Amino acid sequence: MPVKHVDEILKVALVMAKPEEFFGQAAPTTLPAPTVEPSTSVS
Amino acid sequence: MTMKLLGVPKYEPGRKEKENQVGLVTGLCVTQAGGDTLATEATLMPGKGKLIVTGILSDMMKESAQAALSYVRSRSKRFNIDDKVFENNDVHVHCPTGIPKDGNSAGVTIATAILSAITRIPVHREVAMTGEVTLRGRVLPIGGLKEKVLAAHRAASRPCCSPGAIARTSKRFPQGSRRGSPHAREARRRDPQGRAGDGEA
Repeated sequence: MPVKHVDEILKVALVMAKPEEFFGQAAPTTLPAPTVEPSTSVS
Repeated sequence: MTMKLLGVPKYEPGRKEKENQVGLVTGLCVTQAGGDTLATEATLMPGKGKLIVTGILSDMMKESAQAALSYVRSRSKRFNIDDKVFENNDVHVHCPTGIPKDGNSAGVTIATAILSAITRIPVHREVAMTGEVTLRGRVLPIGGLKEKVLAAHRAASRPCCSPGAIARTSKRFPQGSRRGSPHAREARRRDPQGRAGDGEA
C-alpha cells in the first residue's frame, strides 16, 4: 500500500475496532509557526 | 529432496507471527542474502524517559528510532497518551537476529512498535512495512523495495506499506509477487490502459 504519512500505516497496522476514533482528526503535516517575542533589549 | 541435494539451508527466511501482538511489528530489510522480514520489538519499563535501541544497529538506524519516538511523543495528545508515560518510562526497541542492520527504512516500523507498546494496541501480524519517517510523520522513499516486497510475499504478509513515491517501481516486480500487490493495484489505477498492469513481465 503506497502511503505518504505514517498515520496511514498506523490505521492499517494497529488492530482497532474503530480506527476513526483513534485518528479522529486529520494528521497535521506542519506545525504552527513559532511566535517571536519582540526584542526588549536596548543597545 | 532439495535439502538432500543442497544440504541445510544457509538462510532461514522470516515468517509472519502466529498471532497479533502488542509492540511487535514486521519490518522489511535487505541483507546480503536478499530481502527479508525483520521483527521489531518495543516495550516500556519504568525509567527516566530514555530510548534504548539494541540489535546490532547502525548509527543511522538509531537516529531513525529517535525520530520515530519523537514523532509519537509530538503527537501524544492526538493518540491520547499521557505525557508522564514518556517521563516515567524507558522505551526499549530491539531488532532480534544476529545480522547487522543499516539504513533508515525502519522508521515507520519502529514508530508503529512504539505506539503499539504505549497504547497496548496489538499489531496485525500480516502487515509488513518499510519506510523512513520524518518528525512530521511523512514517509520517505527507501531503497531495495523490490527485495523487500519479495520478502513480504515469501513470508505471506499480505499488505505491504511503503512510500507512495516509489509505486512506479512495481513494474520491476516479478509477476507472481505483483499479483494482488498494492503497488501493482496503485500502478493500474494510475494507468488503466494496462501498461503497468500485471500482464507485463
